[in-house]
Amino acid sequence: MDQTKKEKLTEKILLILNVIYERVFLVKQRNIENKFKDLENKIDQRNKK
Amino acid sequence: MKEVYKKEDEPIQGDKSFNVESVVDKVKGATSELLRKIRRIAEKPSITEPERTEAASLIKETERLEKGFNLISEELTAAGAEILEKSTVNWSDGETIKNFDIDLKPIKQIHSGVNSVFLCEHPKHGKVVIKIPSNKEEIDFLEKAKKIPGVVRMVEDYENKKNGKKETAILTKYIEGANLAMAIEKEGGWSIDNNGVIFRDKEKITTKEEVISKLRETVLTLHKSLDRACFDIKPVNILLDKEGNPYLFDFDIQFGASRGQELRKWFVQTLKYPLEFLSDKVIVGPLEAITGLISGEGFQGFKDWFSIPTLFPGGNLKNFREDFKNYKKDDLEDVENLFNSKYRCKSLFRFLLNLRPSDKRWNL
Repeated sequence: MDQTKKEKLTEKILLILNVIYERVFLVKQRNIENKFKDLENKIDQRNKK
Repeated sequence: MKEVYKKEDEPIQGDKSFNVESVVDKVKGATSELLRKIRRIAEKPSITEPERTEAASLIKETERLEKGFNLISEELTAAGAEILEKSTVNWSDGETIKNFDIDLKPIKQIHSGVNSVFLCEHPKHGKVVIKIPSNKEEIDFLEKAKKIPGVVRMVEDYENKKNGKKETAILTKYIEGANLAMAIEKEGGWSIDNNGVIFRDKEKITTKEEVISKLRETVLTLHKSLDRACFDIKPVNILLDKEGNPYLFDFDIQFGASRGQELRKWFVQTLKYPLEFLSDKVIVGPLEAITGLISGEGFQGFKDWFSIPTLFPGGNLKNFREDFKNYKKDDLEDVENLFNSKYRCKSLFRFLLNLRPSDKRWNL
Protein backbone atom coordinates (compact mmCIF):
# COMPACT_ATOMS: atom_id res chain seq x y z
CA MET A 1 0.00 0.00 0.00
CA ASP A 2 1.42 3.37 -0.93
CA GLN A 3 2.04 6.15 1.52
CA THR A 4 -0.90 8.28 0.37
CA LYS A 5 -3.34 5.42 0.94
CA LYS A 6 -1.85 4.82 4.37
CA GLU A 7 -2.18 8.49 5.26
CA LYS A 8 -5.80 8.55 4.12
CA LEU A 9 -6.56 5.50 6.25
CA THR A 10 -4.93 7.18 9.26
CA GLU A 11 -7.01 10.29 8.62
CA LYS A 12 -10.15 8.18 8.58
CA ILE A 13 -9.19 6.47 11.83
CA LEU A 14 -8.76 9.86 13.45
CA LEU A 15 -12.03 11.10 12.04
CA ILE A 16 -13.92 8.12 13.46
CA LEU A 17 -12.19 8.45 16.80
CA ASN A 18 -13.00 12.13 16.89
CA VAL A 19 -16.67 11.45 16.15
CA ILE A 20 -16.79 8.88 18.93
CA TYR A 21 -14.96 11.26 21.25
CA GLU A 22 -17.31 14.16 20.55
CA ARG A 23 -20.58 12.30 20.18
CA VAL A 24 -20.18 9.55 22.71
CA PHE A 25 -17.45 10.31 25.19
CA LEU A 26 -18.06 14.03 25.76
CA VAL A 27 -21.81 13.54 26.03
CA LYS A 28 -21.42 10.76 28.58
CA GLN A 29 -18.77 12.71 30.47
CA ARG A 30 -21.14 15.69 30.65
CA ASN A 31 -23.90 13.47 31.97
CA ILE A 32 -21.67 12.17 34.75
CA GLU A 33 -20.53 15.70 35.56
CA ASN A 34 -24.13 16.87 35.83
CA LYS A 35 -24.96 14.01 38.16
CA PHE A 36 -21.87 14.89 40.19
CA LYS A 37 -22.92 18.53 40.47
CA ASP A 38 -26.38 17.49 41.62
CA LEU A 39 -24.82 15.31 44.29
CA GLU A 40 -22.46 18.09 45.33
CA ASN A 41 -25.36 20.57 45.61
CA LYS A 42 -27.41 18.09 47.58
CA ILE A 43 -24.56 17.66 50.10
CA ASP A 44 -23.99 21.44 50.35
CA GLN A 45 -27.68 22.11 50.92
CA ARG A 46 -27.83 19.53 53.66
CA ASN A 47 -24.72 20.88 55.36
CA LYS A 48 -26.16 24.44 55.33
CA LYS A 49 -29.29 23.33 57.18
CA MET B 1 -25.58 19.23 14.16
CA LYS B 2 -21.91 19.75 13.58
CA GLU B 3 -20.76 18.69 10.12
CA VAL B 4 -18.12 16.06 10.64
CA TYR B 5 -17.40 14.72 7.21
CA LYS B 6 -15.33 16.66 4.76
CA LYS B 7 -15.42 16.93 1.02
CA GLU B 8 -13.14 14.58 -0.84
CA ASP B 9 -9.54 15.70 -1.26
CA GLU B 10 -9.83 18.06 1.67
CA PRO B 11 -7.71 16.97 4.60
CA ILE B 12 -9.94 15.32 7.16
CA GLN B 13 -7.89 16.47 10.10
CA GLY B 14 -6.00 19.67 9.57
CA ASP B 15 -4.39 19.55 12.99
CA LYS B 16 -1.27 17.42 12.60
CA SER B 17 -0.87 17.11 16.37
CA PHE B 18 -4.18 15.27 16.50
CA ASN B 19 -3.48 11.55 16.80
CA VAL B 20 -4.89 8.47 18.51
CA GLU B 21 -2.57 8.82 21.52
CA SER B 22 -3.50 12.48 22.02
CA VAL B 23 -7.22 11.64 22.11
CA VAL B 24 -6.62 8.74 24.49
CA ASP B 25 -4.55 11.08 26.70
CA LYS B 26 -7.30 13.69 26.57
CA VAL B 27 -9.82 11.08 27.68
CA LYS B 28 -7.53 9.88 30.44
CA GLY B 29 -7.00 13.45 31.65
CA ALA B 30 -10.71 14.22 31.65
CA THR B 31 -11.72 11.02 33.46
CA SER B 32 -8.90 11.35 36.03
CA GLU B 33 -10.05 14.87 36.85
CA LEU B 34 -13.63 13.72 37.17
CA LEU B 35 -12.66 10.75 39.35
CA ARG B 36 -10.57 13.01 41.58
CA LYS B 37 -13.55 15.33 42.16
CA ILE B 38 -15.96 12.49 42.86
CA ARG B 39 -13.52 10.70 45.22
CA ARG B 40 -12.94 13.95 47.12
CA ILE B 41 -16.65 14.11 47.90
CA ALA B 42 -16.95 10.38 48.59
CA GLU B 43 -14.22 10.62 51.22
CA LYS B 44 -15.88 13.44 53.16
CA PRO B 45 -16.74 12.26 56.68
CA SER B 46 -20.02 14.20 56.62
CA ILE B 47 -21.43 12.30 53.65
CA THR B 48 -24.46 10.06 54.22
CA GLU B 49 -24.55 6.43 53.18
CA PRO B 50 -26.94 6.92 50.21
CA GLU B 51 -24.74 9.78 49.00
CA ARG B 52 -21.66 7.61 49.30
CA THR B 53 -23.41 4.91 47.23
CA GLU B 54 -24.28 7.51 44.60
CA ALA B 55 -20.68 8.71 44.45
CA ALA B 56 -19.44 5.13 44.16
CA SER B 57 -21.81 4.57 41.25
CA LEU B 58 -20.48 7.71 39.53
CA ILE B 59 -16.92 6.48 40.01
CA LYS B 60 -17.85 3.17 38.43
CA GLU B 61 -19.58 4.91 35.53
CA THR B 62 -16.54 7.11 34.88
CA GLU B 63 -14.12 4.19 35.00
CA ARG B 64 -16.34 2.25 32.59
CA LEU B 65 -16.45 5.21 30.23
CA GLU B 66 -12.66 5.41 30.11
CA LYS B 67 -12.34 1.66 29.66
CA GLY B 68 -14.92 1.70 26.87
CA PHE B 69 -13.18 4.49 25.02
CA ASN B 70 -9.80 2.78 25.31
CA LEU B 71 -11.31 -0.38 23.89
CA ILE B 72 -12.72 1.59 20.99
CA SER B 73 -9.38 3.18 20.17
CA GLU B 74 -7.62 -0.20 20.35
CA GLU B 75 -10.17 -1.88 18.11
CA LEU B 76 -10.11 1.00 15.67
CA THR B 77 -6.33 0.88 15.38
CA ALA B 78 -6.49 -2.91 14.99
CA ALA B 79 -9.11 -2.64 12.22
CA GLY B 80 -6.86 -0.14 10.42
CA ALA B 81 -3.83 -2.41 10.79
CA GLU B 82 -5.84 -5.33 9.42
CA ILE B 83 -6.85 -3.35 6.36
CA LEU B 84 -3.25 -2.28 5.78
CA GLU B 85 -2.03 -5.85 6.08
CA LYS B 86 -4.61 -7.24 3.66
CA SER B 87 -4.06 -4.45 1.19
CA THR B 88 -0.47 -5.50 0.68
CA VAL B 89 -1.80 -8.17 -1.68
CA ASN B 90 -1.40 -6.60 -5.05
CA TRP B 91 -4.20 -7.67 -7.31
CA SER B 92 -4.30 -4.76 -9.66
CA ASP B 93 -1.95 -6.25 -12.26
CA GLY B 94 -2.88 -9.88 -11.71
CA GLU B 95 0.58 -10.64 -10.29
CA THR B 96 -0.86 -12.39 -7.26
CA ILE B 97 -2.79 -14.77 -9.46
CA LYS B 98 0.35 -15.63 -11.39
CA ASN B 99 1.84 -16.71 -8.08
CA PHE B 100 -0.78 -19.42 -7.76
CA ASP B 101 0.34 -22.83 -8.94
CA ILE B 102 -2.79 -23.11 -11.00
CA ASP B 103 -3.23 -22.40 -14.65
CA LEU B 104 -5.25 -19.20 -14.49
CA LYS B 105 -5.08 -16.37 -16.95
CA PRO B 106 -6.04 -13.08 -15.27
CA ILE B 107 -8.48 -11.00 -17.32
CA LYS B 108 -9.48 -8.07 -15.13
CA GLN B 109 -10.16 -7.00 -11.59
CA ILE B 110 -13.90 -6.84 -11.07
CA HIS B 111 -14.11 -5.77 -7.47
CA SER B 112 -11.68 -3.97 -5.25
CA GLY B 113 -11.69 -3.64 -1.52
CA VAL B 114 -10.38 -5.63 1.40
CA ASN B 115 -11.16 -8.81 -0.52
CA SER B 116 -10.41 -8.16 -4.16
CA VAL B 117 -11.99 -10.27 -6.82
CA PHE B 118 -10.45 -11.11 -10.17
CA LEU B 119 -11.93 -12.47 -13.37
CA CYS B 120 -9.77 -15.22 -14.90
CA GLU B 121 -9.75 -17.77 -17.64
CA HIS B 122 -9.54 -21.34 -16.32
CA PRO B 123 -8.50 -24.17 -18.68
CA LYS B 124 -11.32 -26.45 -17.48
CA HIS B 125 -14.06 -24.15 -16.18
CA GLY B 126 -13.72 -21.23 -18.61
CA LYS B 127 -14.34 -17.80 -17.12
CA VAL B 128 -14.15 -17.95 -13.34
CA VAL B 129 -13.96 -15.45 -10.56
CA ILE B 130 -11.16 -15.89 -8.04
CA LYS B 131 -11.30 -14.51 -4.56
CA ILE B 132 -9.24 -14.99 -1.43
CA PRO B 133 -11.81 -15.36 1.35
CA SER B 134 -11.40 -13.75 4.76
CA ASN B 135 -12.26 -17.04 6.40
CA LYS B 136 -12.67 -20.67 5.49
CA GLU B 137 -16.30 -20.64 6.57
CA GLU B 138 -17.19 -19.08 3.24
CA ILE B 139 -15.87 -22.19 1.46
CA ASP B 140 -17.98 -24.49 3.64
CA PHE B 141 -20.96 -22.28 3.03
CA LEU B 142 -20.53 -22.25 -0.76
CA GLU B 143 -20.02 -26.01 -0.76
CA LYS B 144 -23.33 -26.51 1.04
CA ALA B 145 -25.11 -23.90 -1.07
CA LYS B 146 -24.05 -25.43 -4.41
CA LYS B 147 -27.52 -26.74 -5.17
CA ILE B 148 -29.42 -23.66 -4.06
CA PRO B 149 -30.64 -21.64 -7.02
CA GLY B 150 -29.62 -18.00 -6.93
CA VAL B 151 -26.30 -18.53 -5.14
CA VAL B 152 -23.17 -18.06 -7.21
CA ARG B 153 -21.78 -21.55 -7.69
CA MET B 154 -18.35 -22.42 -6.38
CA VAL B 155 -16.50 -24.47 -8.98
CA GLU B 156 -13.43 -25.16 -6.90
CA ASP B 157 -11.71 -24.22 -3.73
CA TYR B 158 -8.03 -24.17 -3.93
CA GLU B 159 -5.03 -24.06 -1.65
CA ASN B 160 -1.97 -22.44 -3.06
CA LYS B 161 1.29 -23.91 -1.83
CA LYS B 162 3.66 -22.26 -4.22
CA ASN B 163 6.58 -20.40 -2.70
CA GLY B 164 5.84 -21.99 0.63
CA LYS B 165 2.72 -19.88 0.98
CA LYS B 166 -0.57 -21.31 2.08
CA GLU B 167 -3.32 -19.22 0.63
CA THR B 168 -6.83 -20.43 0.01
CA ALA B 169 -8.80 -19.17 -2.92
CA ILE B 170 -12.36 -19.63 -4.08
CA LEU B 171 -13.18 -20.02 -7.74
CA THR B 172 -16.78 -19.29 -8.61
CA LYS B 173 -18.72 -19.38 -11.82
CA TYR B 174 -18.60 -16.06 -13.65
CA ILE B 175 -21.99 -14.48 -14.10
CA GLU B 176 -21.83 -12.48 -17.27
CA GLY B 177 -24.03 -9.45 -16.87
CA ALA B 178 -23.95 -6.81 -14.18
CA ASN B 179 -24.57 -6.27 -10.54
CA LEU B 180 -27.70 -4.55 -9.37
CA ALA B 181 -25.77 -1.47 -8.30
CA MET B 182 -24.76 -0.95 -11.92
CA ALA B 183 -28.41 -0.98 -12.99
CA ILE B 184 -29.31 1.47 -10.25
CA GLU B 185 -26.38 3.72 -11.15
CA LYS B 186 -27.04 3.27 -14.89
CA GLU B 187 -23.64 1.85 -15.75
CA GLY B 188 -22.39 -0.51 -18.47
CA GLY B 189 -25.57 -0.20 -20.51
CA TRP B 190 -27.76 -1.32 -17.59
CA SER B 191 -30.49 0.81 -16.06
CA ILE B 192 -33.71 0.71 -14.10
CA ASP B 193 -36.63 3.06 -14.63
CA ASN B 194 -39.08 4.52 -12.11
CA ASN B 195 -41.48 1.62 -12.62
CA GLY B 196 -38.81 -0.86 -11.61
CA VAL B 197 -38.18 -2.16 -15.14
CA ILE B 198 -34.56 -3.24 -15.63
CA PHE B 199 -32.98 -2.66 -19.03
CA ARG B 200 -29.79 -3.85 -20.72
CA ASP B 201 -28.79 -1.86 -23.78
CA LYS B 202 -32.30 -0.31 -23.77
CA GLU B 203 -33.88 -3.76 -23.97
CA LYS B 204 -36.27 -4.77 -21.17
CA ILE B 205 -34.69 -7.65 -19.27
CA THR B 206 -36.62 -8.05 -16.04
CA THR B 207 -38.36 -6.10 -13.30
CA LYS B 208 -37.52 -5.18 -9.76
CA GLU B 209 -40.41 -7.35 -8.55
CA GLU B 210 -39.09 -10.42 -10.40
CA VAL B 211 -35.60 -9.86 -9.01
CA ILE B 212 -36.92 -9.44 -5.48
CA SER B 213 -39.17 -12.47 -5.76
CA LYS B 214 -36.29 -14.72 -6.88
CA LEU B 215 -33.96 -13.29 -4.27
CA ARG B 216 -36.52 -13.86 -1.59
CA GLU B 217 -36.72 -17.54 -2.51
CA THR B 218 -32.93 -17.86 -2.37
CA VAL B 219 -32.61 -16.09 0.95
CA LEU B 220 -35.47 -18.00 2.54
CA THR B 221 -33.96 -21.29 1.32
CA LEU B 222 -30.61 -20.34 2.84
CA HIS B 223 -32.35 -19.49 6.09
CA LYS B 224 -34.42 -22.66 6.16
CA SER B 225 -32.15 -25.33 4.71
CA LEU B 226 -28.75 -24.06 5.78
CA ASP B 227 -29.70 -22.02 8.82
CA ARG B 228 -27.62 -19.16 7.48
CA ALA B 229 -28.09 -15.42 7.28
CA CYS B 230 -26.23 -13.79 4.39
CA PHE B 231 -25.53 -10.59 6.32
CA ASP B 232 -24.41 -8.84 3.20
CA ILE B 233 -27.32 -8.44 0.82
CA LYS B 234 -26.89 -5.23 -1.08
CA PRO B 235 -27.08 -4.21 -4.74
CA VAL B 236 -23.35 -4.65 -5.36
CA ASN B 237 -23.52 -8.26 -4.15
CA ILE B 238 -26.52 -9.13 -6.30
CA LEU B 239 -25.37 -10.21 -9.72
CA LEU B 240 -27.70 -10.22 -12.70
CA ASP B 241 -27.06 -12.52 -15.63
CA LYS B 242 -27.93 -11.50 -19.17
CA GLU B 243 -31.52 -12.64 -18.64
CA GLY B 244 -31.81 -10.67 -15.42
CA ASN B 245 -31.73 -13.65 -13.06
CA PRO B 246 -30.27 -12.61 -9.71
CA TYR B 247 -27.42 -14.41 -7.96
CA LEU B 248 -26.15 -13.72 -4.49
CA PHE B 249 -22.45 -13.26 -4.22
CA ASP B 250 -19.94 -12.64 -1.41
CA PHE B 251 -20.62 -14.64 1.71
CA ASP B 252 -17.71 -13.49 3.75
CA ILE B 253 -19.77 -12.75 6.79
CA GLN B 254 -22.68 -15.17 6.70
CA PHE B 255 -23.64 -16.58 10.08
CA GLY B 256 -25.82 -19.28 11.43
CA ALA B 257 -29.00 -18.75 13.33
CA SER B 258 -27.75 -21.37 15.75
CA ARG B 259 -25.94 -18.55 17.45
CA GLY B 260 -29.43 -17.72 18.57
CA GLN B 261 -30.01 -14.69 20.65
CA GLU B 262 -26.46 -13.54 20.22
CA LEU B 263 -27.26 -12.66 16.62
CA ARG B 264 -29.76 -10.11 17.77
CA LYS B 265 -26.97 -8.02 19.11
CA TRP B 266 -24.82 -8.17 16.01
CA PHE B 267 -24.89 -5.68 13.26
CA VAL B 268 -24.09 -6.24 9.65
CA GLN B 269 -21.27 -4.62 7.83
CA THR B 270 -22.86 -2.24 5.38
CA LEU B 271 -25.49 0.40 5.67
CA LYS B 272 -28.76 0.22 3.75
CA TYR B 273 -29.22 -3.54 3.97
CA PRO B 274 -32.57 -5.10 3.95
CA LEU B 275 -33.30 -6.91 7.16
CA GLU B 276 -33.11 -10.65 7.31
CA PHE B 277 -35.49 -12.47 9.55
CA LEU B 278 -34.16 -15.88 10.43
CA SER B 279 -37.00 -16.45 12.80
CA ASP B 280 -39.33 -14.38 14.96
CA LYS B 281 -36.57 -13.95 17.45
CA VAL B 282 -33.47 -13.68 15.31
CA ILE B 283 -33.21 -10.54 13.25
CA VAL B 284 -30.21 -9.28 11.40
CA GLY B 285 -30.34 -5.52 11.17
CA PRO B 286 -28.56 -2.74 9.37
CA LEU B 287 -25.54 -0.92 10.65
CA GLU B 288 -27.54 2.26 10.32
CA ALA B 289 -28.82 1.49 13.77
CA ILE B 290 -25.38 1.67 15.25
CA THR B 291 -24.35 4.83 13.43
CA GLY B 292 -27.63 6.34 14.55
CA LEU B 293 -26.68 5.49 18.08
CA ILE B 294 -23.31 7.14 17.78
CA SER B 295 -24.94 10.29 16.54
CA GLY B 296 -27.33 10.11 19.46
CA GLU B 297 -30.29 10.24 17.10
CA GLY B 298 -31.34 6.65 17.52
CA PHE B 299 -32.60 4.49 14.74
CA GLN B 300 -33.36 6.39 11.58
CA GLY B 301 -35.30 3.81 9.63
CA PHE B 302 -34.43 2.33 6.29
CA LYS B 303 -33.46 4.08 3.13
CA ASP B 304 -32.69 1.06 1.09
CA TRP B 305 -33.57 0.56 -2.53
CA PHE B 306 -35.58 -2.42 -1.38
CA SER B 307 -38.76 -2.24 0.51
CA ILE B 308 -37.94 -4.40 3.50
CA PRO B 309 -41.32 -6.00 4.03
CA THR B 310 -41.44 -6.74 0.29
CA LEU B 311 -38.17 -8.60 0.28
CA PHE B 312 -38.82 -10.46 3.49
CA PRO B 313 -42.55 -10.54 4.08
CA GLY B 314 -42.09 -12.82 7.08
CA GLY B 315 -40.49 -9.96 8.90
CA ASN B 316 -42.27 -7.47 11.01
CA LEU B 317 -40.85 -4.00 11.06
CA LYS B 318 -42.85 -3.00 14.11
CA ASN B 319 -41.35 -5.85 16.11
CA PHE B 320 -37.88 -4.86 15.07
CA ARG B 321 -38.47 -1.29 16.20
CA GLU B 322 -39.70 -2.55 19.53
CA ASP B 323 -36.70 -4.82 19.72
CA PHE B 324 -34.49 -1.88 19.02
CA LYS B 325 -35.92 -0.01 21.96
CA ASN B 326 -34.85 -2.94 24.07
CA TYR B 327 -31.35 -2.86 22.63
CA LYS B 328 -31.08 0.74 23.56
CA LYS B 329 -32.42 0.27 27.00
CA ASP B 330 -30.66 -2.90 27.97
CA ASP B 331 -27.50 -3.09 25.97
CA LEU B 332 -26.55 -0.05 24.06
CA GLU B 333 -26.99 2.77 26.50
CA ASP B 334 -23.61 2.14 27.94
CA VAL B 335 -20.60 2.93 25.81
CA GLU B 336 -18.72 -0.08 27.09
CA ASN B 337 -21.61 -2.37 26.20
CA LEU B 338 -22.04 -0.73 22.84
CA PHE B 339 -18.55 -1.69 21.83
CA ASN B 340 -17.81 -4.68 23.99
CA SER B 341 -18.25 -7.13 21.18
CA LYS B 342 -14.97 -7.18 19.32
CA TYR B 343 -16.68 -8.37 16.20
CA ARG B 344 -19.28 -5.65 16.23
CA CYS B 345 -16.72 -3.01 16.93
CA LYS B 346 -14.34 -4.15 14.21
CA SER B 347 -17.15 -4.67 11.77
CA LEU B 348 -18.28 -1.10 12.24
CA PHE B 349 -14.80 0.30 11.93
CA ARG B 350 -13.93 -1.81 8.90
CA PHE B 351 -17.08 -0.50 7.26
CA LEU B 352 -16.36 3.11 8.12
CA LEU B 353 -12.73 2.86 7.04
CA ASN B 354 -13.76 1.57 3.66
CA LEU B 355 -16.07 4.51 2.98
CA ARG B 356 -14.98 7.25 0.64
CA PRO B 357 -14.56 10.58 2.45
CA SER B 358 -17.25 12.08 0.20
CA ASP B 359 -19.76 9.42 1.18
CA LYS B 360 -22.81 11.01 2.75
CA ARG B 361 -22.84 8.28 5.35
CA TRP B 362 -19.94 10.05 7.01
CA ASN B 363 -22.48 12.58 8.09
CA LEU B 364 -23.10 10.61 11.21
